[in-house]
Amino acid sequence: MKVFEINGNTLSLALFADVTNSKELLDSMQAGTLDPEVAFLNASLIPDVFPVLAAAHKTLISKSRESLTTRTLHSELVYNYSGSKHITESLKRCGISESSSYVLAARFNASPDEMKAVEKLINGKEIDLDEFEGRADQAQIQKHYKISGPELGISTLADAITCRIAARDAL
Amino acid sequence: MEIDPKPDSENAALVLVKQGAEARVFESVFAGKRSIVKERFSKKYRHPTLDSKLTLKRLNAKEARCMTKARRLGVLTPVLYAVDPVIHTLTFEYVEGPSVKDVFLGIGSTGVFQERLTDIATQIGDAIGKLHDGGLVHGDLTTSNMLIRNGTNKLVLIDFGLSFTSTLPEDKAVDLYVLERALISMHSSCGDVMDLILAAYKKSSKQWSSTLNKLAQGTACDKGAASEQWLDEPPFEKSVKDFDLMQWKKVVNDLGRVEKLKPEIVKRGSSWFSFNLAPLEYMCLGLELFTS
Repeated sequence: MKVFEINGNTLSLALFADVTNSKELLDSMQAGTLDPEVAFLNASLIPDVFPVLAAAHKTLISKSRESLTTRTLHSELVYNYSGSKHITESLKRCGISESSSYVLAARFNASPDEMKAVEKLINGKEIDLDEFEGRADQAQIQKHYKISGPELGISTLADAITCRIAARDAL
Repeated sequence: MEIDPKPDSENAALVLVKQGAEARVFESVFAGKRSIVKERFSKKYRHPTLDSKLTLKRLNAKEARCMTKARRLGVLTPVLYAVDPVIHTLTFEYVEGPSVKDVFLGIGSTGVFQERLTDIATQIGDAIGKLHDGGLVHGDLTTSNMLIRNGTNKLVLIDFGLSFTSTLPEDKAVDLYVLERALISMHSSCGDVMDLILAAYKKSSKQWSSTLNKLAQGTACDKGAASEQWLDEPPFEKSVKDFDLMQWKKVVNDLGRVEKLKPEIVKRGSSWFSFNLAPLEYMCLGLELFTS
């Protein structure tokens, strides 16, 4: 797991492969009983950590202005990462599903104890964040973010996603 | 538990890089990466409605949209990190490298490196061709709005604040015309860069012929204007609006500030600007010219 500093807040990220209990996680998340509250992202859509940080930055800004679009800070992170304005669709695609086995857990301003609790929640193997690039599903990313061929010729997947996250509200 | 990046590099104070007529540009750090923050400020002398139209909408919606559109068309632009509609800022990637303006001026003084010049001109023509075929007009094509990224030597277009979408050959020709004037005024020592650019443009754009026809017409018009009798005998039939435009072209040309003001004026004169500008706006423009 790794901690990133964003505008005076921290974002703790932990990446898991071979997760077996995503159905339970999804159920308790939807029931609102997840403790501590944490965001689960579909990690196969994440080619690099930077777009996640850009989404987190956006989330923290709307939190500081009390203008969250979704119900919680952590669901807002998933929504922002999607680069789309459709909330249900965003949470479905960029969040976890019952069959997800590759998951990124993210929590804002987490204490070390809380992150340990998060690690206990997930039945899976924790892996290093360096694995993002190799494990990302390029075809799925290109489809979800509508990244065209000419754009990939000049830009990395991560940069293309960051642009879409940042420009969503302007589109 | 490791903390990355270092806490003290975050929240680094904003350092003013440049102050322009419509925006301030700061250097900052965004999530651990060096970044540029562009803040568009309001102008108190403008009517509030006009001001909010120019300040808020132009920057936040249009600039971000046009930048991402350019990327989608395969033209390099800085990566957009964040858009803040409340404080009117855009945050971009910091592109390391000199502007084409500096490169060309360097070439002028240190002797011509034809190879480098050709490479850059080809990239410029190619990029503009891609933009225009995708229906995007940059609106402020000057050599200071083009950067050459260190290491890769790739052209990066910046400042899409005046960009808009259009499929009219007139708009595209104005885009090229602005560039031509900028090159003539700043980089006459570089020789026929414009020809190289247009050659690359022809190769990259499928609709080059109608655009270049319009450009040729505009240039002919301009030559007429340059001769001294233009005030008495307009070289072509012109509407009052066009006449205004001619006058402004001349004023700006005389003051030698083509690069900075031309796009604004050329656009204000042409018909795409959706509302009529009162003479006061022209006066303000003149004031900006003298105060900036």
